[in-house]
Order: sequence, then structure tokens, then C-alpha cells
Amino acid sequence: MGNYDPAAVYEKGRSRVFAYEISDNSCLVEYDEEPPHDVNNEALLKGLAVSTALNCRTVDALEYMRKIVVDGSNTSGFQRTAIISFGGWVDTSRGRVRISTVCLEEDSARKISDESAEVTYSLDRLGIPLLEIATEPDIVDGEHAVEVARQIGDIILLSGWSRRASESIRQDVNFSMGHGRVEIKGVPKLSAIRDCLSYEKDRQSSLIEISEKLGEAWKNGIKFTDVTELFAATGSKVIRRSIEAGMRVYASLLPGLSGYLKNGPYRLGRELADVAKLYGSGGIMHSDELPGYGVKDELEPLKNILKPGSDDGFFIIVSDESHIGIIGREMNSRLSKILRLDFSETRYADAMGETHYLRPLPGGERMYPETDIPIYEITSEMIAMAREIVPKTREELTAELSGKYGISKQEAMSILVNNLAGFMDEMASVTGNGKLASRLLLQVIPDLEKKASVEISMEDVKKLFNALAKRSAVKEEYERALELLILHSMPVDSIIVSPEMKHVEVDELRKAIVALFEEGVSDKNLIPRLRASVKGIFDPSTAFKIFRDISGKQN
Amino acid sequence: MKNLAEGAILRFKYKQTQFDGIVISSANGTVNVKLNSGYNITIPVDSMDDVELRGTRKIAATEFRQESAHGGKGVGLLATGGTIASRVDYVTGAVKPVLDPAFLEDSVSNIRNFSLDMDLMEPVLSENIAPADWVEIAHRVMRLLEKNQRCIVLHGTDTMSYTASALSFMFDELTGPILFVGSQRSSDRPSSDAFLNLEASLEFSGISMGEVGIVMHRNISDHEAALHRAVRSRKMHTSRRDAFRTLGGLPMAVYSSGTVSFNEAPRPASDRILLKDRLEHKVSMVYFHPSLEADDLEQILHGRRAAIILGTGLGHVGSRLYGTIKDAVKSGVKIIMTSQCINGMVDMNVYSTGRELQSIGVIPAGSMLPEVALVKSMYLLGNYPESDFKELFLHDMRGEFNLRDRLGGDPL
Repeated sequence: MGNYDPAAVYEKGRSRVFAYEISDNSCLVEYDEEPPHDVNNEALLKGLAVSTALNCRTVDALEYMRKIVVDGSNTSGFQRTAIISFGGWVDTSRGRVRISTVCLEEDSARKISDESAEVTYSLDRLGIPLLEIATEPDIVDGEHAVEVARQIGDIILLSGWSRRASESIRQDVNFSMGHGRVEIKGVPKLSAIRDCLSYEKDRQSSLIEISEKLGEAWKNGIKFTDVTELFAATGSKVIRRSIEAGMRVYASLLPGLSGYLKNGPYRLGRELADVAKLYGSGGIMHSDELPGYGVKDELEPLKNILKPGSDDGFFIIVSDESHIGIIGREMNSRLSKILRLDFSETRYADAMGETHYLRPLPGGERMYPETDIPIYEITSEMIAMAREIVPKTREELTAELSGKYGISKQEAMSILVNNLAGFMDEMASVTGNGKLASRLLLQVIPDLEKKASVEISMEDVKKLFNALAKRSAVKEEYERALELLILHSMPVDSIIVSPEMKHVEVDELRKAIVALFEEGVSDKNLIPRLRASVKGIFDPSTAFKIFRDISGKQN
Repeated sequence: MKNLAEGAILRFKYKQTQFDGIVISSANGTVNVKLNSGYNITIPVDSMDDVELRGTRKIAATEFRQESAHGGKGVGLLATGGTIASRVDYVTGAVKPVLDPAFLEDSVSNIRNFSLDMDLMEPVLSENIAPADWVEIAHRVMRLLEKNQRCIVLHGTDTMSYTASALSFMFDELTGPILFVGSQRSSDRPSSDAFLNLEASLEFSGISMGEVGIVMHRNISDHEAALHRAVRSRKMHTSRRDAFRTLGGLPMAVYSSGTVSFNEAPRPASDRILLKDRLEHKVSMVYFHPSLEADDLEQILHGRRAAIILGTGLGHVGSRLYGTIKDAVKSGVKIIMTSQCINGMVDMNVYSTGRELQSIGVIPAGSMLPEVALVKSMYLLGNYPESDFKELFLHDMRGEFNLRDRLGGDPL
């Protein structure tokens, strides 16, 4: 309302070019060349069903909003989002966690590459229906956060409605120690939630300590001097390469910050490095880590220029000339904000579970009504339809699976959490034996994969099982065939005709057992020895029968 | 009665859940509230409980400063309305026609190099523009041209080629360019095409030329805009930002990342402005189709001085209509044949039916676009003796004929 959104202003300052790769599943709507079509009814119904599972109350009317998103991940520059339900909860081992809202949104575009001047997105994910489920601040700690995320994620995962893609369920984690909210975007794995929360806690604690020690000492002291000439013959490869690419080396004092940049728990250097990275800098090196990284001889002349006092730190940064001005301003304002104990911002988590500065926190100003979509009434019929398809809980699904196939609850649970339920249904109907299918999927295949350290394509397994089912194969045939497929990477067509897959005639089997018996084989090692000596499939119970027969005669 | 006046800051319960927000509007038993989270929510009034009024705030539509940019070359800027001169009201979401110079200043990169001489008309959506408006626009443009030698007209895209073509004919002579600019996305949207189109039109306005152009996106990327000759251009898509095309050829010029390059030399500027502002309104347009009957056509032609037919293919209509057309021509109605194919020219010599229509007195419009033929007829009948009509109509006055159809850009 006449205010600028800080995140939008920030992105404008970065002025990057956004490129979009057109995908087969995109159309003019994704290119922002056509107004949005009607609300996707299937997505809405499923969203309402998930809302019911989360004990939420449904709104009477959907009102779509445009949420301004300026990082280029939406071709339109905004994301369409509407509240579909609110006021729900999940019960956890540490008490009830309230659900504030469930929103039905359009997913953003998938980032393919991120250069400082140009970001490329694919349009293949843009516009896919996305549920945003927000919780109230009832989560106690990192462990609890993982539990809550798992519980909510389960509902989605077990519904079978989510895409089979690694980033299809993502977590945004909000964290506060009383100095402003930090939003950590797109935490990919559940375990990473705990890691990045603990990282964030340590980071904020150390910043609080630094701020207490420094008091009012920090006075926006970053001012860059071009020192490229000092690095003409530098021993640092990184710097040399950057200079060759046309970048310059700049240096600045950090008054009073010596010993806070990288020293035990103090890591103020990272806060500067995060800013540098966002503006395409080749990186920074600061006084707490120098000499190092091939920079040594340059230090004396550098100090002569900067003249640091005993408390002062300093740093060098590699950057192109056009960005150094804004980098300086951003670093100064970010450091003063942090040292004033305002930690509120948007961060992202890397693969190590460490978090990095991304942009300022957007405000409520970034939302305004989407005028291209009329207000959409949610009727009692729709709510009734949604109630019929409410995703089952883990317990319900486990009981159902174990009853259907006569397998144990543990097996049923493993099938669910490994996302094998669909495959299990298929394989049980192909083999006509649920117990066998479950054993093959949960034990035989994973064991063989581990042995061969490969991940086998489920398509191949399906093809193999279909071929075996045609000849009414027995358990041993499935196991042998999987061995050939996984351990010996034999093509499915060759496996079926392989001599190893032939049934051993009873006479031949008897002969082999007689030979082994003479060598003194016992009933304990009969089967493995027999497997080693005959090619082909035999029924172990038949083998035992013959063995007992022979040994009985001998006695 | 609950206090649900606009601007009321409320805390209330809806389905046993507490919300805080501000009332945007209420109507028909529902109330629209902007929640503190930024989301708007529409709720039936009687499902709101425990309503607590916690204050009020005036909900003003976003206010705009009116002073113009200054410095550099003078450019006349006439705002007639349309998407390009609209902004969303961030509170209610309604798109309202307003021109916000300060916003343009923030968003159009080269605007500070120009001094804008602005004239704001009562905003009209372009589907509501009628020939009388063309005349008013022409006079306002003339005043701006006299002061600034160049003029940019912000106009809705739907009928932009009609207005631009009309001005193209009405100005017999021009001292500088008249450039029509529109946008397919309103300027509140980060992906709006308004900014690049304006930026390009400011650059194009520096060209010394004596004709009317249309400046819009060249493709769906955001770095190229095209300058089309008004009388050869047409809106060819409902929503794409590159909806405008020069048919049968390339645009006159292209603006790409700061530079202008020409495909064709524009008509040179004159040392004076000559405006012929009379228009004959009694001109009609007929789209031929398989079930069009003679009595239907008769009614459309009744009392008209000219009619443009969009015939099939090379310029044909069903023979059941020949009688009606013959009668109309006899009574003095000019019947002009164009093609619904839009691309390509009518040629009424290829088939005997075409020759028959010609012998009845139908005038083939060649490569002239149907809308341009309409506007040209209105201009000719308004300003010249009727006896000169056919000769002038077939004479290329403003580049409205495409004499060489080239394999140019893709027709949309």
C-alpha cells in the first residue's frame, strides 16, 4: 500500500537476466502469454482432502492472490496462491502442533543454472499444483521439527498424489531466538531440518555474543580500495584466474572486527562472503584466515595501504567493477543489521545443512488480489467429495496391506515408507503371491543391489517378473533370475533362456547329491554345495528328500 | 449489525479460528478482509463471530504523483486509456485507468532523458473508442506535435490499429512521428511489457519521420520491440505480448537492447502539419459466411455509403448475394472486397466468380487490410469528392498496400 517490498527492491538492485527453457508440458500460461485458466478441480479436491486429514476447516470461497516473487522463478513475477483451509492440527509426541493455513498454489519454475548475471529456469515444474501447509510456532526443537515434517509429509506421500521427484516435498523452516524471524527456504531432506536448525542456532548465538562484545563499535566501515596491482604476480590461483577474467581485487578495513571473522565460534566472515556470492563475486579472503590460499607476499603492502589498528580486521574481495559499489553498501547495511540484533531474513540451506543469506524477508505488501480468476465458491458437495478421498493414515494403510497380502505389519510399513506400494500391488498380481513379492522387493532385491552396488531399474524387474510369471516360476527361479539380472547385469531376454534357469531333472539332482554325500556333505551345507555344483533350478525340499533318502539307505 | 465498514480493523472468529485483518469491502452478505498475512479472504457475514473493532484506517486507492519527468528532449505523451495507462489498486485488486508518471520514472530506464509533455484524456478502454474519439485524439496529438515535434499515444491494444490507421490517413502531412504504444500486461505486474514498449517508443520518437507507427513487443522475450507501420499492422493474438504484427513483411524498425535498426526507411517528415479531420461514419463491414443470406446483407448495407466485405480466399462471396450487391452498387454504395485470410492479397481475376463481382462494380482492395480499408473509406468519403473515390482508394497513400509480399516474420 504505497510501500516497497524489501525483497523486491533487493532483487531489482541485482538486475539479473532470467532465461526460461520451454518444456513439453508447458503452454502460453507458463510463458505468461495467456491469462490463467480455471482452478484445477482435481487439485482442489485433493487439497481439501489433505486439509481434512490435517483437521482443517475449509474456507467458503477461494480468493486467489498474487504473491510477488522477484527471483525469476515465476515468469509472471508472482505466484498465484489461495487459502483453502485453516485452523487444523496434528498430534505429535510432544503435544499438538497447530496448522495455520493450507494454501493451493502454483509451483515455481525449477532453477537449472545460476550465474551472477543470468539465471536459467526450466518451465517443466511451473504451474504444477502445490499445497503449502503452514504450522503455528508450536514446534519445540529440531527433533520435533523433523517429527512434524515427517508426519505432515507422510500424509502427502502416502496419498500417492505427489510427484515422484526428489524436490516434490520441500520444507521451509522458520526459526527465531527472539531477534527476528529467519526463513530457511527449500530444505530438501528431513534430516537436513535438524542440521540447519542446529547450524542456525549456533550462528545466531555467536552473533549475539559478537554483538554484545562490540557494542556500538561498528560504524559501517567498509570502503573499498582497488588493489589489483598488488596481486599482479599473486600465488593465489583463484585470484589470478579472476583477474584474467577481467575482475578487480578490492580491499577494505573492517574496523574493530579482528578475531571475529573466523575464530572459534565467531564466523562474521561468512556473513560477508554470503553477500559477495550473491553479486557474482569471485570470493573474499579476510584477515583471520590470511596468510593463506596462496596469498602471503601481498599482505605487507596491503597493510601499508589499509593501515589496520590492532583491533581492526580487513578483507579482500574479487569482483567486477560494476558490482563493487552495491556490494559495499549491502555489506555495510547487513553487518549493522546483524550487529543491531535484527536477524530477520530469508536464507537457504546447502547440502551440508549450513544456511546462507538469500534475501531480505518479504512483507505482507507483496500480496494483492489475482483479478484474472473470479472468486470460486467451495460447495458442500465438493467438501463431501473430498471427505471420500481423505488420505489414509500410515496405520490404516499398513493394516490394509498386511491383510491383503498376508504379510507382516513390519513388511507392510517398509513397503509404504519406501514408496513401493504401487509396485507391490503390481508384482503381487503378476506373481500371484503377495508374500513372495514382498520378500523379493524388501529383501532379495535390496541385498543383491548392495552386493553389486548398483541400483536396478524397476522397469527391468517388472519385465523380468512378467516373463517369469508366464512360465509359472517358483521362488527359486525368481531369486536366480534376479541374481543374473543384478549381479551379472544380464539382459532380461537372455536370462529367460539361460541354462542357469533350466529345471534340474530329478535323476541329475540325485546323481549330484550322491556325489556330494560321498564327499561327506551334511544337511546343513547341502543346498549351497549343490548350488555350486549343478547349473539350473531345483527345489530345495526335493533335494532334502533325496538326501534323506540316500542317507537313510546308508544307515 | 456488525461494523464492517471499509477500513475497519477487525479481530474476529471464523469457524472457531481467530483472524486479524482490515475490511476491504462488503457486499451481498459477504465481507472481503485483507488478513495480516497479506491474504484476502471472502467470508459470509453471518459466519463471523466475536467481531471486535480495533481501529479504522482509510482505504485509499494508491495515490499517484502527477508531476512529469523533465530534462532532455521534449516528447508529447497523450494517454487515452487502456492497459498501459492502468494500474492495479493493490488494496482491492481492481485495475483502474490511471497514469502514474512517478511509477513510469522508476520503471522506464531511459525516461529521464526526455521531458514529457503530458495530456491525459478521460481514460477509455479501447473497445469503447468510436470515430468521434479518433478526431479528438487527432486534435490533441496535433497540439502536442506543434510543441514537441513528436508524440506518443498510450492506447488500449484492442482497437489500436483502427485509431492509428485513422490518424495515419487524417494527417496528410506530419512534422514528426506519432507512435501508438500499448501493453498486454498492466504495469503492476513484474512481467509487464509496458516498460519496454515505452522505452522503445521514446527511442523511436527520435527518428525523423512523417508517419504513424505502433510500438509493441517484437517477441515474447523482454528485450526487443518493433515499430510497425500503422496501416500494415494488426493485433493477431488475444494475449501474447508480441500480438502486433506487420503483415506480409518486416516491421519498419526494431529496438533491441538500446539500439534501433531499420528494415525500411520511413516516410520523411514534412515541414508542416496538415490535418483533414472529417470522417464519414456511414461505412460498414461484413464478414461473409456460408449462411449469410441476401436479406441480412441488405439490412447491413442499408443507408451506408460504403461497405467492406471480408470475403473468402482471394475475394469471393456466395453467388446468392450478387443481386443484393449489384443493387447496392447501383444506388451508390462503394463495395470493397478484402479477404478473411488476412495474410495475402485479394485477386479477383483468378476465378470467373471474381471477375463477375468486379463487373458488378466491387472494388478489390488488393493487399489492404480489412480494418484499414474501412478507415480509409471513411477518410476518403469525408474529405474528397465521391467521384475520386475509386482512384484514391486504389492509390497507395500511406503505405497501406503491400506491393511485395515477402516471407517475413511468421504470421501469428
